[in-house]
Amino acid sequence: MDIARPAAEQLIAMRGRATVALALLSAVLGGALLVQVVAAAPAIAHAELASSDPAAGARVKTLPDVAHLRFTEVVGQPAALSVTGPDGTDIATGEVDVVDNQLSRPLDSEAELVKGTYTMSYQVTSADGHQISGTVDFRLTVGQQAQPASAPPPAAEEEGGPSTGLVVALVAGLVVALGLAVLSVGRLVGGAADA
Amino acid sequence: MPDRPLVRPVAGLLVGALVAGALTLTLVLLLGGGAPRSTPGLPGAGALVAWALALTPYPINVAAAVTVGFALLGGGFLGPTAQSSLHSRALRVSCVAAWVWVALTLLIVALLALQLRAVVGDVGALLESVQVRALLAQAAAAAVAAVAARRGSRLVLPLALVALVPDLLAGHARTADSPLLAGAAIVAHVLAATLWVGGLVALGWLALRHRDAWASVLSRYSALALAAVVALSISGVVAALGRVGSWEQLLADGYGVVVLLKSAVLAALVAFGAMQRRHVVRRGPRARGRDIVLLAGSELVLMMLVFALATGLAQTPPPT
Repeated sequence: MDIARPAAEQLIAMRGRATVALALLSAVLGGALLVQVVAAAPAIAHAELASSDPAAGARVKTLPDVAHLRFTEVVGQPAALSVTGPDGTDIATGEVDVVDNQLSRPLDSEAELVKGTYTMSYQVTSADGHQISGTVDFRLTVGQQAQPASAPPPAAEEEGGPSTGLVVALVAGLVVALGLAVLSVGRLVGGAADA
Repeated sequence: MPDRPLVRPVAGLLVGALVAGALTLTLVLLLGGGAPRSTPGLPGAGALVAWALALTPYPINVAAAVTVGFALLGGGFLGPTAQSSLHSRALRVSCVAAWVWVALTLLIVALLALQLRAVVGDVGALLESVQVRALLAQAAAAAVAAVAARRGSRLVLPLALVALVPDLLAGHARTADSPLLAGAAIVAHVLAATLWVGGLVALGWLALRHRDAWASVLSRYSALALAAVVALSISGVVAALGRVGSWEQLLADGYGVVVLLKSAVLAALVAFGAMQRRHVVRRGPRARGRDIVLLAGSELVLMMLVFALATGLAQTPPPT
């Protein structure tokens, strides 16, 4: 058995070297191919909002019949769109429509015109399966003053990121878990040394 | 069975590495901008569903890697081991991992259905989603792989590798200018990572059961690992180049920072791999047990972290 072993090892090592050479060759070829792919395809990103009607920050005198949002790529369901007025009511009614790169939904034509800021909240699914969501604000410059809102208008979610406490807790947990893993490796090493 | 005193440190290593990975993924999502957000004024299935959807891909990747790694070993693709009973035991582990993979994949489909129902009102459009169809294909292929593993067939390896593909092709690759080539790139990247990580997990298991058996398959695994690292480094760097345009973006953006972290962990893994070749592979059966355990254990922890970073990166919006 001890005499046979070096020969077997040599065989395995030779096969191993051939595998490595083949893998390196295909990796280099694949890499060259990839460079071309990426050079040719600069945009591999999530879909984003390209434009909207009413546009972000627009000051309008009348509400459109239909709110439209256009994205940089084809989008699909699940999709949702709401348009919340200064008094907190959602004036979007009817079916949400997603065709190609456009999301649209009719607005309630009977809604009383209330002066102030309207927030369009959207959510669509991009072709790669990711949820894209956000808000677009515009102002209606004519109409009656907003009554004190029965429901406060939705505040845009803060961009500030997660709370420091949460991050500290997660990092502490991470340190404990890594510590457990490292200690366990240490004990395994100790066990292997004893054996 | 591994020696009784080994059970606790092995469990500690696995639990520690998996929990560390899950926490890393959560941090990447929170700090990198990929965390699920609720949009004010819109219906949603709630934070629980959104977070479950964001985190489940991590255990899926781990289950897939374990399936593939034990299929490599049990199918004899790494060469003969000292005891053939080890092969059938490895295939049994592969079978269990494949069923876990199936279950988690179906969990994602269920979560997507909940989300669709919350937003649209019914789940009629569920099967219109390419992602859902890809997930169902993945679950079906993984289930066939599980059955193959149960029957002791070597087919479990190709089946498990095939199961990885549909979900990858349903992602970013679909919207690339040349979907075929971008798809091939991401498939190469993920298959290489899965073989590499899964193989190491299986070898760690083997080393605990039969030290000599480890020595005999290590040189083949080592060659496979080297090839996998080269392939996944190149495809990873090139993919990152396509999304991060400049050095400034690399530091300014959450996406760039995760790419840097991933590269750093990969560099550490390559260093460990080089040490492994030097201290373990070249010495063959004369390698010291403590070297084997130290290197494989450290690599396993780093691999669980890099899997978490990869899962997080896939959900982080690239810089615009």
